[in-house]
Amino acid sequence: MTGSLEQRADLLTVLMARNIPPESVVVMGTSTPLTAIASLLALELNDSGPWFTTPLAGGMSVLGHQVSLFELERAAFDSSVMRSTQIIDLWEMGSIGPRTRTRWLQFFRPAQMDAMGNMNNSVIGPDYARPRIRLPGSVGIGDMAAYYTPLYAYVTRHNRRAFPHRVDFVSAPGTIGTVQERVARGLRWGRPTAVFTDLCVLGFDERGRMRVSSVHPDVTQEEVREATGFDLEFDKEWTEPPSSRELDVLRQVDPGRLRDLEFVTSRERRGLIQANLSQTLASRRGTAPTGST
Amino acid sequence: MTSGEPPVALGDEKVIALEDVPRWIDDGSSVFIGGFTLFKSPLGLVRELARARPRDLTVWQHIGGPAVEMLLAVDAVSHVRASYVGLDIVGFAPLFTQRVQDGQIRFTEETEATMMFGMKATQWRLPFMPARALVGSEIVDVRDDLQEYDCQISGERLVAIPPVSADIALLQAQKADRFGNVQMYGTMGNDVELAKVSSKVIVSVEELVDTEELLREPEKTALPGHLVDAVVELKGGAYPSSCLPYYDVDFEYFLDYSDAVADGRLADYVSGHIDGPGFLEYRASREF
Repeated sequence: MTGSLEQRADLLTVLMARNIPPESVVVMGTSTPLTAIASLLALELNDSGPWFTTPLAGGMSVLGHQVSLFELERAAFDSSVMRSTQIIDLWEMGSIGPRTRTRWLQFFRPAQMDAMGNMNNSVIGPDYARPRIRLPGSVGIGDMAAYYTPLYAYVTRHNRRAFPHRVDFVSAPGTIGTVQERVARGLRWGRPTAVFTDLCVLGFDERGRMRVSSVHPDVTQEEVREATGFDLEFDKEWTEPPSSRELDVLRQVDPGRLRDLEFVTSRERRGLIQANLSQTLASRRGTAPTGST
Repeated sequence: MTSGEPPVALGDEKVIALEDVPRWIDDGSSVFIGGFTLFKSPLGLVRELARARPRDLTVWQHIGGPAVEMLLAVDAVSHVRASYVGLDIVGFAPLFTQRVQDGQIRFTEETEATMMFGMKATQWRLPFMPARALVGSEIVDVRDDLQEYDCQISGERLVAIPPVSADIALLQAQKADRFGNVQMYGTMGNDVELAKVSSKVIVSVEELVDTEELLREPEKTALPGHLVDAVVELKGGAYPSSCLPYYDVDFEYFLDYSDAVADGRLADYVSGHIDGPGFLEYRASREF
């Protein structure tokens, strides 16, 4: 893999943005800031929508054109068309309500995902009661998996830990199998649609098995195979690289490169957060404090 | 009411002092914490509770973070219930992670649906709520109180979610009057739902105001006084989490906290920030 971390982060953000149509409602899940950046990018590229919703700031927002992660809550608050929605309201108005269900988009970020699209954000290790790693938790992915069509996920570091033969724990069910098998299991809606990684784009065949839809520029099929804990079939396609316009707009909406946060290790992340924080505080100095009741 | 005329008293006065908060919470209680990870969490109330060293609490947060950590830091917790406990982009919640891995505390894996449907079951006084959520998830397998079942009426495969309620809820809001009418907006979590299913509700507010002020913007009122048992006026009450429009999250605080635990300085954190004035000094250094 020849691309730098920055190039991989740029490409993944662009891929997510390309899959956010203007009429959609995008929800930012817990601790997935890439969704916010991709939404902003989609908004700027399309010159219209999507609605951006997050439990932060209580609801439905039209974000500004540039955002600092540390002021994301305030940006959403200041540009809210509604400020009183609880999480339960967001569900009923979007993801599980029949009216807007098909327009609702969320990008899950599983710690593990297997060939059948099962997702794990609960524990790493074979023993649930005494896990090797207790992950922060799956929030609502196990619930939402029953509803979302399409259902997108992203993985910022494609390796055998992220794509094992079988997930250690099924927080959210994957495809289950064919559509008929899925319905027979009791799942009438939902089904994993695509997974965006730093190496490739993955889809699911009609048997419900993961396959590679396209390999990113400068990545080989061999590298993808090496980094995946199960066998993969490949469509003969390359991922379309980011256009210069997409990259220009991305630089405008995320000048501090917050999109890199989800790509680095936790140790590197501390430095990156600190650097961005200093930058935000410096730029805030000399500007009047925002906010009014 | 004609303008200029003072409103009538709306029930009992609810204002209590911060120091009184721990007396509301017995050892062994279940405690809901409002807010959402690093955002609008009642950390001033939680700190006051932690200083009193309660024991054997069940701490319940929809999407949890520093409040759980603070109570774990003083060994006040035997059971955590949440769909997530972490420090958002700052990283894992170090004490929660370690103590669950070591088997020192009981953890119940909640999800958004187990919380929200469970609260609906309580509100409607039902034995359970049927859900499509979690069909096919192993979370159902590791929880004895959840059950996938074939509904005999609809013929559908569903999950039965049991009622959710707690002894007390601690919440953070923007404003309240002395009768406990609370204005809350912005990051809401599921705070209104929590208030509906808790036996007692304490709310910390940035500003205690006259009822007249609430009457000017009644659409911001999220909790009527009859759902609230106590109000604590506490400027910066959510700090180091956020309470917009007053102040943002102090990410630096949480970075420092993570480092302190990683470096084995938990005892210093407890003596400095929970028992000592460190938390307040930190807070005073910020503008509200």
